[in-house]
Amino acid sequence: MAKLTFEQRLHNALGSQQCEQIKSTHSYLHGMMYSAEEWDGIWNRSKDATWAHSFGRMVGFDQIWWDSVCLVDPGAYRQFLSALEKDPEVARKDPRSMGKNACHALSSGVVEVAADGKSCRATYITPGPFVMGGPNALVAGGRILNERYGSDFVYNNGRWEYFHEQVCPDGFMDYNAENWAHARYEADKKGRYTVPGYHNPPPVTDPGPLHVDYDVVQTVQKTLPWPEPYETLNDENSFSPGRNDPNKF
Amino acid sequence: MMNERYTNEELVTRLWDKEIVKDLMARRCYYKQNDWRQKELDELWVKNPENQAKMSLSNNLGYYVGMDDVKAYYVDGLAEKRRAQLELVKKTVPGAEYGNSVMNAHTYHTVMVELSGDGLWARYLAYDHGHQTDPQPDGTAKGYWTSGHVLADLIKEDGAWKIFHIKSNHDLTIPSAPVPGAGGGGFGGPPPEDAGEGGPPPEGGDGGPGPGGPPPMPDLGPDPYEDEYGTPTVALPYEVKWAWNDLPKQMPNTYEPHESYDPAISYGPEGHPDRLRSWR
Repeated sequence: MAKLTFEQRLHNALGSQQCEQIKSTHSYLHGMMYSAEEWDGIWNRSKDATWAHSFGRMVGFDQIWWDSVCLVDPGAYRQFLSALEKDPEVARKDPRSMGKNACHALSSGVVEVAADGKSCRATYITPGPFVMGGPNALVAGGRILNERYGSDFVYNNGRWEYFHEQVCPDGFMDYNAENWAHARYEADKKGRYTVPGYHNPPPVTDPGPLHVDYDVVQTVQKTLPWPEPYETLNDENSFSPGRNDPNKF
Repeated sequence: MMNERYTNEELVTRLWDKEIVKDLMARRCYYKQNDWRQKELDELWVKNPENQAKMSLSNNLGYYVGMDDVKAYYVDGLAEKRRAQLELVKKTVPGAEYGNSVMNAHTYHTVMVELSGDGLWARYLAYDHGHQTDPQPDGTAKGYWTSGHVLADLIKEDGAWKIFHIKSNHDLTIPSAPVPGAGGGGFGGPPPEDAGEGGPPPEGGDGGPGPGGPPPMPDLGPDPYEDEYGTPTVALPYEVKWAWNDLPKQMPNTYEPHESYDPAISYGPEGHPDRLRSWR
């Protein structure tokens, strides 16, 4: 690993801090269902930008935008209209942020900035607490979401941008309701095994499954290696190998 | 390092200031856990009398403004609650002491910090998840999971970061006991045997979590902590009913910080979202 100057180390330290900030920004914008503001505000727009979930990987900013803004916003508005029928006061409220609140809590961050200062890689584990709007979109509810996240960021045109995301969902359950692992065991006994990915997932270039929800017959999943110190973003250091050019348009 | 505005030394200061702000707010979690309310006001909050007159601490009903009102609510009010709790605990444990049967922890995470251009003001946002226990009228005890988010203004007083405003937006309290109607579900989870109409809220396009979940939220009933909010100095509420409707107007900026402190976008009463017009 190259020995860095003071200025290079300062650049990388500021980058590490800013990428943590961007990751949190994503969490709140997603929590408010401000999808357009998220992808318009903090994401790289190249053809190598990718966003992946258990169901597969969206490739290129256009596909991410279509799947994550164009196909998601209508759901928020449907919730809003449903709530409006129950309470006219809803009409003066923000249709998106009052409804969803899928804020992903972040902890255990491992953050590495490349020696060349042009990219940053991070992994997080969500500890579980999760606030989410109920189906009537009026009262927030609490659930437990177990997930891990792998993120790549790039330093592009003088600012840090989100470049790749890999979401690995491990489980999603209610507080206090049941022994959720045992519930899966009982379901498996009846032949109702975990289904990889979403029901009716959005279109993706790279279909999954890239990760599988908890099931009693699964093995340990090592689908999200944390970043080690590295020189530069490349296929060995990327959550989306083969797609590492932030200026590919 | 090339920067049009700041020297390297100033950049190091800005880098470190953000870490100090995170650290200071994290310390508050421990002070609260220890019930060190007065100590918290003495050590973590503003000391300048002019700032103390404008400091505020909010709950879902509004803002307690000024050190006297904040202390009456946050310190004296809690002491009164603890004394009442002691009487409840004594029903089953006659030798109980002040603070028995009480535990709370609020963790701050998923942090954003916007440091102003002049370096004297920091806007802070964090998710707040925790747990609380409280004695019950029948002498037993009950535990809760809590969820919310916290917004804070911190300012530099004589070179030291201090808390100026805290806006605690409490989203929900979940009793740590089986909730009727809860359960099941998951991303890609097995389909339920009794899938009902309606299904989960959409996410990820027209699709969503697997047919097994998430299920409709159970009715959690009234929040058990609503009665403790008291009568704030300025009654401007955070309405849980509208979930995070306020947050778009209040989030710290990610890239371009405000230049200097502005009460109109602060987390004090002057910056309440009802008084703001737009996002950012």
